Formats: sequence, C-alpha cells, structure tokens
Amino acid sequence: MYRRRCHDWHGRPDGLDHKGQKFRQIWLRPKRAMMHRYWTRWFPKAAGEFKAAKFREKRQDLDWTMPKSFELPKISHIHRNTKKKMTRRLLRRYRITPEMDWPSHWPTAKTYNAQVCPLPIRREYQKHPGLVTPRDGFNNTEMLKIPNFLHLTPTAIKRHCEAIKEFFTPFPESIKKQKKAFRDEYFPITMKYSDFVHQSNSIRDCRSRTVTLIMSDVTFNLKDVRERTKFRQLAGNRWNEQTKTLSFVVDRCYTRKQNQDYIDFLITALYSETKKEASWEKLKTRADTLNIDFQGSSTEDRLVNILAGIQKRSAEKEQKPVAFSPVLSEIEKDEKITKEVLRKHPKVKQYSRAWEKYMNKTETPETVRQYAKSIRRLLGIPEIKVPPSTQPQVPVKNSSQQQASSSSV
Amino acid sequence: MRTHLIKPTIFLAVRNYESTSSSFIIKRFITRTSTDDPRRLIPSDIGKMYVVPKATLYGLQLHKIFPQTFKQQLEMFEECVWLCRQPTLEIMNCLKAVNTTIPSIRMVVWGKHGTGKSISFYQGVQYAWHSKFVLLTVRNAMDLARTVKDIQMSVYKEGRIDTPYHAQNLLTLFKHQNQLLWDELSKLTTERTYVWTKLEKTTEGAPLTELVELGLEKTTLATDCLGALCRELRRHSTKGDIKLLLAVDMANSLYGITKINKITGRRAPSDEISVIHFIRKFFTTEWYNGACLLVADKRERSHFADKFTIPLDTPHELFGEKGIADLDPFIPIETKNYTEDEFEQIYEYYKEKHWLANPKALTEEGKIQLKYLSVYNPFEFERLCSFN
Repeated sequence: MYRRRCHDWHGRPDGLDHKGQKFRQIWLRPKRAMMHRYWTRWFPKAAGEFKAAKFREKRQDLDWTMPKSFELPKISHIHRNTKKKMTRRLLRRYRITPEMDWPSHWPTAKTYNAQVCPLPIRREYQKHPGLVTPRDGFNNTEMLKIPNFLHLTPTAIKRHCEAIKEFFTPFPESIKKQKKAFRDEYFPITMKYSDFVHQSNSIRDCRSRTVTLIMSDVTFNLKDVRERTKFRQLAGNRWNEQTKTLSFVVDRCYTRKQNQDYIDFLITALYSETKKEASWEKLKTRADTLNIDFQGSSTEDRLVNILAGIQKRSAEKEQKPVAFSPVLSEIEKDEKITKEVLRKHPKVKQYSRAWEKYMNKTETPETVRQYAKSIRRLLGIPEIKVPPSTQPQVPVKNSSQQQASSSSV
Repeated sequence: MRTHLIKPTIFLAVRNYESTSSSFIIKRFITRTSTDDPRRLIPSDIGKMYVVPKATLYGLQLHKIFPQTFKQQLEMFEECVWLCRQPTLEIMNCLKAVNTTIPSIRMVVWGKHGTGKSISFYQGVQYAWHSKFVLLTVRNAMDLARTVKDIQMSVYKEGRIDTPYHAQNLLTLFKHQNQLLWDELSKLTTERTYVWTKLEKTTEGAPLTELVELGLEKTTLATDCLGALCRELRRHSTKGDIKLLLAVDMANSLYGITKINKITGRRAPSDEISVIHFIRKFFTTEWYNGACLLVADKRERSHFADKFTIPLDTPHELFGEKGIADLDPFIPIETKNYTEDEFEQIYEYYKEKHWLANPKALTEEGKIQLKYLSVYNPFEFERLCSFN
C-alpha cells in the first residue's frame, strides 16, 4: 500500500494553510521516470525550456506554497510523447480512508474491482500453500466470479431503509410477540432444496435431489403424555427438543419429487402411528421412559427406609432426630412412613423436583450445587458461610481475581 | 576483621515449634487458626493454617498414605501444615451430625483437578480420628480395581474374586489407624461363628481384633476376614458401641473398570471383586451412627493416550448410573480454587520456608505472575513454587 503523507508541510498549530484552508490529501503522485527523462535532456526540443526552468529554480522570489519538485514548467512546443502528464492520479483503491463514506465509494452491485476495493484479499488455488508469498489483489479473476456484497454494508442498508421508510407502515406488534405461533399457523412447513450450476459438459448435480423439511409439532395435535412420548420416540433424532421442530432430510430417491413424496409418506406414517395405541404399549417399564421420574426410583425407596428407620430409632431412644428434622418434624410420630405419605409432603416434593432436574438434565457444576442445596434443605445441615476476605483486593488484569472470588472456574 | 556470634534464637524457635503443637511462632504473615484441634475449628478459621502434630501423623500413617506431592512436601519441611478451607469445615460439620438415630451420612467430595479433594479428605480423616471414630480408610480404590498382584477365586461365594494383597493392606492400615481404640475393639464381639476352613474357625463371641489378626496372618483368608470385619463393624455401629467412618479416596473407581481377568480371559466387572463388594455394602441405608467420606476423582475416567476428551469432575458423571443409585441421597461437597486469602497464606508459608528459590518470586510482581500462571489452582501453584 502507498505510504500516506498525511502531515502538514508547514506544521502550523491550527492545521490550516496561509489561505485558511485545511490540508487536503494529495492524490497525485509524480511520474519520476518521466520527470527524469524530461529534466535530463531526453527531449531535445525541451532543452530550451529546461534552461529556463533551471534559471527559475535559482530565483528566490517564487511562490513558496507549492513545493518546488511539483512545479511544472510551461511547455509550449513539446514532442507528442512528452505531452504525457508528469503526474498520475492514485487509484480509487488508495483514495479512500476509513473515515470516508463507503456507500458513495461502492454504491451499487458490481463485479469486484481491485482498483476500487481497498481490501487486501485474494482468491486463488495455491498448489504449494505456504511457499508462495501473498500477492496483492490485482489480476484476480476468481474474485470476479463470485458475488460480492460490498454494496450491502450495514450503513448502506440503513440509509436505504431510512429513505423508503415513509412509504411503509410499522410492523404489527402482535405478530412480533407471537412469532412462532404465527409462523406455525400460516407458514407451518419450511422446505429446502438447492439447485446447482456447473460449467462443464454435464449440468447435473446429485446434491439437488436432497430435500429438507422443517415443521413444528402443532399440526400433529398431540393431546396427552402417551402421544407425546410416542411421537418423540418414533421421531428420534429428527425432533429437536430445544427449538421444538421436526426436520426430515431425505435423499434416498433419484429425483427431488420422489424425495418430497417420501417425506409426505413419513409425516402421514408418523401421525397415524402416534395416534394409534397398541396393546403392547401397556408393558412399558421404567427403563422405557424418556425422563427419569422420582416416583418409583431407588432414591425414593432409600428415603423411605431412612426416614422410617430414624422415626423408629428416635422413638426407641426417645431422642430427637438430629438430621432430616425439617421433614420429620412435619410428620406425626405414629404415622407410618410410606411412599404415599412422602409424596404428599411438601419438602419431599421440593426435593423430588430438584432431584428430577439434576438427573434429567446434563450435569454441570452448577446443577450439582443446586442439588447440594436441595439435599441440605432436606437434611437440615446448612452450608458454612465463608467469612469476608481480609485481604486487599490486588488489581490483577484479565479478571483472574474475579475468577477466584466467584470460584466458578 | 570481626567475627560476630549469631545467637541461633531463630533456629531454636523453629525447632521448638516442632515439638509442641501450640508453641509460639515467629511467622509474621501467616495466620494460624484458633486451635490445632480439628474438633474446635470454627468458620472464622477459614483461610488460616493449622498444624498436624507428629503423633497424629504417625498414628494415622499419613506419612505413608498421603498423595505423592504432599508426601514430598512433608518430608521436605518435616512438618504437616495445611489450610483450613470451606470443604474442610463442611466435612467436619457433616461428621458432627453422625448419630445413633440416623443412618450413615454419605459425602462425596468433588471438584476440579488439584483443588484439594484428597487433602480435605485427610483433614476429615484427622477430625474423625480425634473424635474417636473407628476408621476404615481405603487409600486408593483405583488401586483395588486395577493393580493385580495375586487373585484367588472366592470360596465363600462362587464367581467372586478375592484379592488378598489389597485385603491385607487394608487390614494393616485399619490396625495402625485404630491403635488407640484397639482395646475397645477387642471388647466388641462377633455375632456368629465363622468357619474358614476345616481347621480354622472364629467362634461366636470372639473379639473383632481376632478377625484382623487372622486376616493378617493367613493370606488366603484375608479377604473373607475383611468382609466379616466390615459386617461386624456395621453391626456394632448400628448398636451404638462405636462410631464408624468409611473413607475412600477415588471412590468412583468402585464403579469403574478393572484390570483383573477371569479364567475365561475376559475382564471381571467390579461387582465380582469381593473387596469392592464389601466396600459397596457400606452404601446401604441399613447401618447407623456412621459416615462414608468419598472422593470423586476423574483419574478413573481419563486415559493417558487420549488427549482430546475432557472427563467431567461432577459426581454423577464419575460414579455412573449405578453408583449414584447406590449413593443417593448424598451430600456433594465441592472443592474450589484458592481465594485471595488462601493464596496469600500459602505464598507466605512457602516464602517463610525459603522454598521459593527464584528471588523474583519474592517480589510483588513475581507474586502477580504466580497468580496468573497458577490461576489460583492449588496443585499448579505448588508445582510452580517447587520449580521457582
């Protein structure tokens, strides 16, 4: 890139010249080879003028604003070749700074032009990558082949929108809030397929037969737990729990139409199978459920054993139970502890909810801490509070100190 | 030229410090806890250091069973001084709640690598020793599953594999650690007769110590003796005669893989190894007046050649479905990196011991660099100080 000479030649404090004008960047550069040929008697007819220019150089009463090297002699009768300019104007690529307005520089969609676009990019096939030094962006035909969106910068788009805003009404707020519901009702299906263009003997591309279909489960009208679980188990990987979408990616048939028909078949099959209830579905065991429930888990049995044991022993020894007191204090002494009794107990319910969260979601240190809190609440053994730090907090960069104090590393 | 006579007051003070646990100290910047007795530590002692006297060290055989780096530090400094941190007091709090009315409390110490799981574990063991618990410590459950010294098929139960080497190690450690309670243990008797072989049998009403001695004497009976001992200990703690602590380091290995092969050539699952089976029996809710102190370590799940998978440190991930089903409900106790206070204490301790060799480590800038490099991780910081 050209080295910019952005400094003011005369270094005035206000940055203005003697005419009160700001310094303007010069986009002209001298053609030094031409000048050399001119000044060194290359062109005989200009020899006379050469002498005159030299004489003028010695003269002191010339205008001092213009640098001397840029002062061009008035040439009247010069050879045709020497009429070539002694200066050249810099390319548009070098005439733009980040402070200038890009949309004016690249206003519309056009093929890539390295003489205009200042980005140092190049697009080519490198047979030996790493061995060739990076070249500049000129003479790069590959960049011409691809679409560039240099006319669609955020500022350009914003300006365009501002200009045509007066012709538009605001976006309905009700749709914004119910975005997913609106989409499910009016645009329930998204179908994706691609066409490919080739510059070769054949125009075919086998990737064009793949069809992707994305939809939600609203249209399936799943009423109860049985239908929902069966739907999820049949759909398998095609159902995304986080985005609540069902997606089919099909390319098993030769043509796109055949693949689309196959997807239609899959959807109808899925729908009809979820609605049907087979007799063997009643043989479902705990291992077949999608979520681990607290009711029926081994933890529940163990909790019953623990609490029943404590109740019995504290009655025998006539001692107050030390642990599990928050639970036991709310159960009567003579009441036999069974699963049914515990399922109604609010503290145990709270614990079971925390337990289900811990068991069903992916385990992270944070979930373990939540679980620890819930178990401590049940047991009645609270966590120890750490006394505040006595050390002066040393200002350490990169927030490693924050890491230590939050202890979430 | 003058010769100065330097009175060795400083050296005498340090030497005297060794012999008495609560002697005066000339450590300027290290704060000590209110007591060295772990039974009386309070929350305001968090972030302060306390000393383990040599009697305790040898009584608990800690000089043999500590983790390698801490053992080296012990040998170097000839004293055991460690920090009282939050997980320490959590463990002690839970152990204080041990009672004849409630079943055993299961605690799982978990945390990132190098945050002090094993050290907190041993601090808990020391507390239990002072509180007159009967200790059954397993130094390394991964050892039980993975080191294969000598195996024999169990006579008592078909299909189980006995490991006499590990059983005898456990029994020797049990014997050493419970020396102060040996007389009391000898007063406790067995419930029934155990017929080991045609010649050997332990009659009903025999002291428990006889089981231990028999196991140590006869290698073929060691595992079965250990099993009988575990059963009897649970029974007596349920009755209220003793308080029992089962302490297992790297406990998630009890539900992990083994390296023991069966006759068929296949790997034996951890269910079929008798020592592991006996330890797992402690996780039931049938016994009272005791606690299980377990550590979840990711060394079980990490493979030395696999540089890409990052095993998690959380208990469910490390113990697995079966492990959690056996342990639930348990108390997870987390160990974290050092806080600012704790870092300062350890730094000053190393400084005091002249352990930091590089003079730049003694400057403020050096300290900040150590903070950056170690990221307040205790293990990393210890290794950095050893090499700087």
